[in-house]
Amino acid sequence: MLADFQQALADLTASPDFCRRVRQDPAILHQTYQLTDREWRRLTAIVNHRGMECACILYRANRLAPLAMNVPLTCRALGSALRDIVSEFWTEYPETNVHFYIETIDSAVSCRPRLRKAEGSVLK
Amino acid sequence: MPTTRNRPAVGLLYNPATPDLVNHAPELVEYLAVMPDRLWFDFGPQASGRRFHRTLEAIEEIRQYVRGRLLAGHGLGLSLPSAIPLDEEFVDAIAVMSADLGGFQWFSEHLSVFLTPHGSVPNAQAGLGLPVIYDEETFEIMRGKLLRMKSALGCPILMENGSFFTPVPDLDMSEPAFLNRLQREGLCDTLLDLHNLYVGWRNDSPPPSEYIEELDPDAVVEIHLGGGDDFAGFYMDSHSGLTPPEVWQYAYDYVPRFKRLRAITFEFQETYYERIGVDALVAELNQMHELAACCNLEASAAHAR
Repeated sequence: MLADFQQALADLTASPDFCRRVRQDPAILHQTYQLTDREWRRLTAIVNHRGMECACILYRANRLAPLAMNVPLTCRALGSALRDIVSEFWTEYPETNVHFYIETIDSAVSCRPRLRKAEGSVLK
Repeated sequence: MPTTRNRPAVGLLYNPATPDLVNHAPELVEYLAVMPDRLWFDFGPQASGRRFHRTLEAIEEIRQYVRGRLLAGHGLGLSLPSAIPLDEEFVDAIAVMSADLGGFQWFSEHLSVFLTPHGSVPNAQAGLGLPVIYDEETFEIMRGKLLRMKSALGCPILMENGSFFTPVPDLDMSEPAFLNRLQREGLCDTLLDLHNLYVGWRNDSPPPSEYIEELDPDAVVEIHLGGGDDFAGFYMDSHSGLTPPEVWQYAYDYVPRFKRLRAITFEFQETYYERIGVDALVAELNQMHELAACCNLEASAAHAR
């Protein structure tokens, strides 16, 4: 069904790891989504297209931009730890917000436990 | 006394850097498109209090700059092809903003899936515009929403072609055929983003000429120009620069055919404003006027100034 196709495409775009798993075993799409054969073939073709990498990059860039603009010092302080912290958050909360402030607040609130965890190794 | 012109207006998609640019060349900017999504904080349908919180200072600034200029609305958040009901509160909020700013001449939205149907929150956003399945099911989803929007906003609706990196195979209709049908059935007109076509071509889609040749020229009411940049082996629609020469070439080749064209609009991202430079942007506006001068519109599309 169309709604499941759209959700699956959004989920794939938000997760390079999910893309990799679907490339290895396209049948796993049927475990989560109700798809016609045609929809399943379309998703399989999309996930194997070279542009999928770009869509995934763009998704992550669009989520990183609000943080880089609104909490740049936090991003700088986290350094190489930033990648893991935001990746974990983005996996848990794949839905974004077009408003940079709201996206930043959501990220900051949700990442607080992860930041505490990182505090010992990074923030000190 | 207003005078009627037989060429499209030249303008900008409004962003926080626009006032400075307009101050440098007020006579070159005849049209502004504003994005309601950027003029409020939307706390979503599940908000415990008021859902939309307007950015009053920004709206007041726009009010000053739209005076004496053609005004339209440009949306991002309605995601009309999504298999979800139309966000009526959102549409009503756009209608209120339109009335507040003196009335949008038209309202455009993106032909892409931006909201996901089964997110963990209502109106969950996908993070970028995703490609659309062009078939009867999507057409019927859009038909109902477009009719409702036209009625609520009281102005024509335009749908804009997107830039996608992953083409959908085995479609029932091509994108231009889908847009043609939307227009033929009186549901909406087309906002043709020439730079988006260039982005597609740079990332392995067919050349823009194929797309434009298939599109009904009478459907096109606005065009977008803009620039992007290369990243990780792809060309991005980042609105980070001036319109590339190839896009200008499509514009000169095809825009004079669009007899209902009302606006030629340049898009740039405000964070690149200083890097692009005011002088270069003024030169871009001048070139847009040269392009507009190549058009000879039908009387019904001519507008007063």
